[in-house]
Amino acid sequence: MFPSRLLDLAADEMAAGPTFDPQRINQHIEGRVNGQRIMSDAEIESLLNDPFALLVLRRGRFPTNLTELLAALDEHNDSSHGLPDTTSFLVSEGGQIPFQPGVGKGGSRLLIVRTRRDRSTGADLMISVLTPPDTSPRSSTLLLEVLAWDPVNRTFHFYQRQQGAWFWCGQSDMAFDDDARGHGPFDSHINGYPNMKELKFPWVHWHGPTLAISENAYAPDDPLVSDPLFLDRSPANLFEDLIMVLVDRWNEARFDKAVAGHPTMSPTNTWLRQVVDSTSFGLISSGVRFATLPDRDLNDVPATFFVDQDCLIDGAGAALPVRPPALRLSGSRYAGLVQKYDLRLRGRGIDIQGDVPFCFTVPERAREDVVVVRLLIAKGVMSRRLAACLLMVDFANPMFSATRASLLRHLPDGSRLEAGASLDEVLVERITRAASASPPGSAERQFVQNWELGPSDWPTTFADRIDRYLEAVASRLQTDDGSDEIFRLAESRRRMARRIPLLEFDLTLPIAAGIPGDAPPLEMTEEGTIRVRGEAIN
Amino acid sequence: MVLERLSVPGMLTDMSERGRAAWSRDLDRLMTSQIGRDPDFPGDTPRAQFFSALGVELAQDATVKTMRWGAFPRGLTRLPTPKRWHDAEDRNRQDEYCEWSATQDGRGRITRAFFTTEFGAYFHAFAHDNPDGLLELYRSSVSTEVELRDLIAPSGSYRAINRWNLAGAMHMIQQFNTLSAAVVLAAQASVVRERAGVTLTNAADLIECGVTANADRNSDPLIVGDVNALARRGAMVTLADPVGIYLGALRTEGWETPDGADAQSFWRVTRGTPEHPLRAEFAVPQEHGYTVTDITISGQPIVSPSQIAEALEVRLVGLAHRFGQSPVVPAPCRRSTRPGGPPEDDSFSLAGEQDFPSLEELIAAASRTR
Repeated sequence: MFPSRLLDLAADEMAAGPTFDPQRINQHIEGRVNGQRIMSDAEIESLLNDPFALLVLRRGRFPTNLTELLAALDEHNDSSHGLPDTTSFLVSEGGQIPFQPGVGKGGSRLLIVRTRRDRSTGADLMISVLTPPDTSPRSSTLLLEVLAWDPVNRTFHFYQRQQGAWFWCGQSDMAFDDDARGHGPFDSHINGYPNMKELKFPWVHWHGPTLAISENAYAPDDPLVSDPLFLDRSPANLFEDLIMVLVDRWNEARFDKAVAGHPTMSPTNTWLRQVVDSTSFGLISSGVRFATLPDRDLNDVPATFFVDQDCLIDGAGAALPVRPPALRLSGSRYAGLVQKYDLRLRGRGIDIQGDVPFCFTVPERAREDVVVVRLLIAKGVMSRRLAACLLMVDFANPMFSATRASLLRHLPDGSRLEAGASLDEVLVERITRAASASPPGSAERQFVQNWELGPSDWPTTFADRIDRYLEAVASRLQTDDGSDEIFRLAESRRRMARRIPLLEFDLTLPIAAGIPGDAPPLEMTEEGTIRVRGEAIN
Repeated sequence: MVLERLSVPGMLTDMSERGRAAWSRDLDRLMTSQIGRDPDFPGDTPRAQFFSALGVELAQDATVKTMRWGAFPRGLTRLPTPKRWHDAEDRNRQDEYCEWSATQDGRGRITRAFFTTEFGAYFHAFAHDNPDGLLELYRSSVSTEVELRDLIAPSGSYRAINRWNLAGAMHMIQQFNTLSAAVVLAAQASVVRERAGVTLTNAADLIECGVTANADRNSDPLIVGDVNALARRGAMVTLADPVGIYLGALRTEGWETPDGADAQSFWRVTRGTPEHPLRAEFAVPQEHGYTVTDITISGQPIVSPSQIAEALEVRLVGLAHRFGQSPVVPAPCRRSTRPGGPPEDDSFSLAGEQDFPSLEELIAAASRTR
């Protein structure tokens, strides 16, 4: 949920005088010219009103390690603004690989969440510590990161401790600033949201209810395994619940700021790109463990890999009356494909044939994109029909559809978000006008065809198309050729996800070494077949 | 300090002194039956690291482990809304040790939603000890129209699956939401197991190797994994007194009410203590002039009590002591002879047409699962 890359503190070495002080709150906004400096008291007072600032930094406490940080928070446990409830979580890409002396497999990320005593609201403060093997998570040498909610400014602040000093690295709003976007915390918090890539069951790579990250993943004397935060770690499903609330929290705040005319958050394209494009991604898996193949079949191949269920079918989205079939793939067939395409876990000293702990781990729509679609519908910015007509363009490719993303260019220059102002009129008019000059199969022509279904027939017509498509997918999963193609499509989409900095570690996803690195990207057709991406239009 | 009696769930005071003493005795018998030393119950695996807390002086290192999970059935989470909410209204599907139901007004709007983690076994004991109290509880909790004959069969036994329970979720009736299921699960999970010389640490592996549980739930694998982790540290383990499943936090952030009232204020624990809540209601007091359905969660009106369940935690508390003092001798992997949990199709039913079992019957049934 945090990026774990170090800040480029050397960038401002030419600045006159010191640019940071271990006994002050410092600013380092990656990507911004002169973004590093010691913050003034006035700035701190107006900008930083989250519990980490209020309970710790603004009181002149600059904890040097996790123990000191938790102790500083504990001092306020009995006060009304204290966050006494502590919950810890663990995620590690190598967490299911038993410890072997001399074999490195990267570290583990320990997440500590502090909440109010009754836990009736979401978390207000999260701490992340990336812990290398054989290192205590309380070591002063480790990178400490804090994400904290500021109820005054209605934003998440991102902090990091590096070179003995605490830096404020920005706030969610800055994800939309040209200079900061994609840099520092915003290379992973792409739109300023807290995130958890593996948000849904089975939470691959997390300590979860089914697969624990247990002591046998570490050396017997690794300090992590005897730490109380490890011993009392909670399962990932509870973190999912926390993150869902926090994502909604920023979504609402962001929307309110946008309609109030915030200069960088009100442009409509910053919202619509999360509807038609994939600005981020989540990871979803079958609940079947790779270790149980070929005895177990994959009876729960994730539907969201094939269709945007969360936005098109769910009642909070377009609410299409689709009846999704069960998508099943035999365990022996999947195991055969793992062999055929030499699926491997490769990175950090590991290179073994096999899959990540759960089979068929693939990208799906990011939660932060899903909530934007739902919010725009709920706030009347666009109708369900418009959302459906946009998302039904190239709908067989819910992720990474360049075709659908191309529709973004039809937003008028300078368009700004307004509550209750439907995008329908302006967007439909402009896309329709462009369609006549566009080639057959273009995004514009698909959209116009969708829109022309009229105000009453679109739900059933779209649902019928999706039903037929999913039935075709279900059938193809039962054949050698079909499952082979879908396996290759999964690899293709994983490779696209690897290009997004959110994917930090090589072991997060498997790599099909048997598919050349320069193989062209693939896409799905409405008939459930696979082709080279863009082939239909080219 | 020695625990001289095992408490009733939630420290309830429904039963007489005699009834509570009987509960302690029966629960202790259920717990000890799981250790494997009782010659009447020659279990397939001795469970030397499991104990009943009755009469035991806990060591200095005694520690509790709170296991928390979501009330909403894991098996339905991937379905789109509103289908998953409606599917989860079926008590058969509420398999996470928490059950719910709701009342509606004439326009189909939810007026009250009930949530319970109470065991049927407790109600058997309650009915036997204090039938008038039972009737009064039903009347105050569900409907003033409840009659004793609705609750007690001519034979004198308690009718656990009665229409008022179905309407008002008085206590759990799904066939796996039982006290014995929780106790047996914890007891089986207290056995450290190995396969091919490797100590098993994952709930999924333990379930394949002798623990009767359903890996596709939130609750079962969590309990198995956490209890087994304590056992691997060489501790003696049990369930903390008062043994019971308890409601956890209800997260109401993002819930919007028509008049701006805090939705958390509509959540009211009605059974148990603040520390050990067993039953709660979500209802809008009349003076507000609207219904539960007028409240939205992330912009969606509450059309099903399952939406509330999606924001509700459930918990069970384990207890361990004497860390590092119990010799850990891993047992070999044994394939479960009886699959845990419901069959894959939807044909399973509530705990049979016959009445839900009493604690006595659960003890006997628990012994057969070992």
